[in-house]
Amino acid sequence: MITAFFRTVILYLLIIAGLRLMGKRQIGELEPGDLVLTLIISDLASVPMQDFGIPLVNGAFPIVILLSLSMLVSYFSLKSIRFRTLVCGRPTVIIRDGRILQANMAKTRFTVDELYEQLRTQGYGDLSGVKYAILETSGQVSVLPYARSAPLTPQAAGLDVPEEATLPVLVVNDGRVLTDNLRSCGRDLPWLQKQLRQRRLTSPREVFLMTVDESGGVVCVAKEGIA
Amino acid sequence: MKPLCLSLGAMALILAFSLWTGWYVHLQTDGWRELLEQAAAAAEAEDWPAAEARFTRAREGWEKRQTFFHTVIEHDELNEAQSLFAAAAAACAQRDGREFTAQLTLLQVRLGLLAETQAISIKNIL
Repeated sequence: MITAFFRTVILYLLIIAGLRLMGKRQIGELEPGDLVLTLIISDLASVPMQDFGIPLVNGAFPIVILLSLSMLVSYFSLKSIRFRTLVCGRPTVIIRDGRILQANMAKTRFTVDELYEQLRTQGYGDLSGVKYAILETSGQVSVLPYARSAPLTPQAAGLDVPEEATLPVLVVNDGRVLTDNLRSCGRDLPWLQKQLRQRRLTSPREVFLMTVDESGGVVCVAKEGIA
Repeated sequence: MKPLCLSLGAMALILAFSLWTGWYVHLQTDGWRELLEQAAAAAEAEDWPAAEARFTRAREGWEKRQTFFHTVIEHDELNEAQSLFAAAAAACAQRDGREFTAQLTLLQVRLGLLAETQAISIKNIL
């Protein structure tokens, strides 16, 4: 059993390290190639975990090779558009000016049911509001509506509104001060202490969450049962 | 550039290790097979002390490299060779020339197959 323990730990760490090296894109969006990679890796990892007669490297080496190949493909995709097109394909327009391009649908083997499912997911009940629909290489459909069907924005309404969206930085997380974040937003510990005093708190340990945004706005949530 | 170097480096390292493993296993098994052949010849000539000495040398070499072999070769294959070594040792202790020679022949074949599994060849790849 100890063999299983160590093998599982080693393979788990190997996969986590590999997936981290592959980048966030690979974890968040599973393109067909990534899905295949994930399935193969999980299978490769599970065999030496259970069968102690198989050397660990028989599972670990193919995983490292697959992750390396995946990184190489990502690298060359980034460097060469032609390579990316070859590996990932290219987006296909399936609706233009509200009209379904049946030839493109057939070419991508995308069914009407799938199209309508994607449109409904994005809040479009029929084709009347859709100017363009593009089938992305990830299999997702991007919908560009007609202006008359698009959600009203201040810009479309000709309104001049002040910029409000600012990036909040987390400076206290469940009682722990994130000093790097504090420094990155130009604040220091005395500033934090002042903020705490203003809220009748004595220590960051009493804070569940504190954020600072670019305009200096502070959001502080005290831990329950303290404030 | 970092992912390129990292991935190419990892693959080159694995390839180099695999090639080295193939070479090393071949080198070791060749040495043991030669010793086993000499042991068989000595047993046929009824020179049991020489046969035992050569067989023991081969077996000791085999035992010494078991940790490494278990990290690169499937354990079932190693266990089969291990059983043949044990059977040959028993035959040698009983001075049973026919049985000893037969076991050594099987053992040589088994060691040859072990080396072959690690060799880079079209047969193995396909």
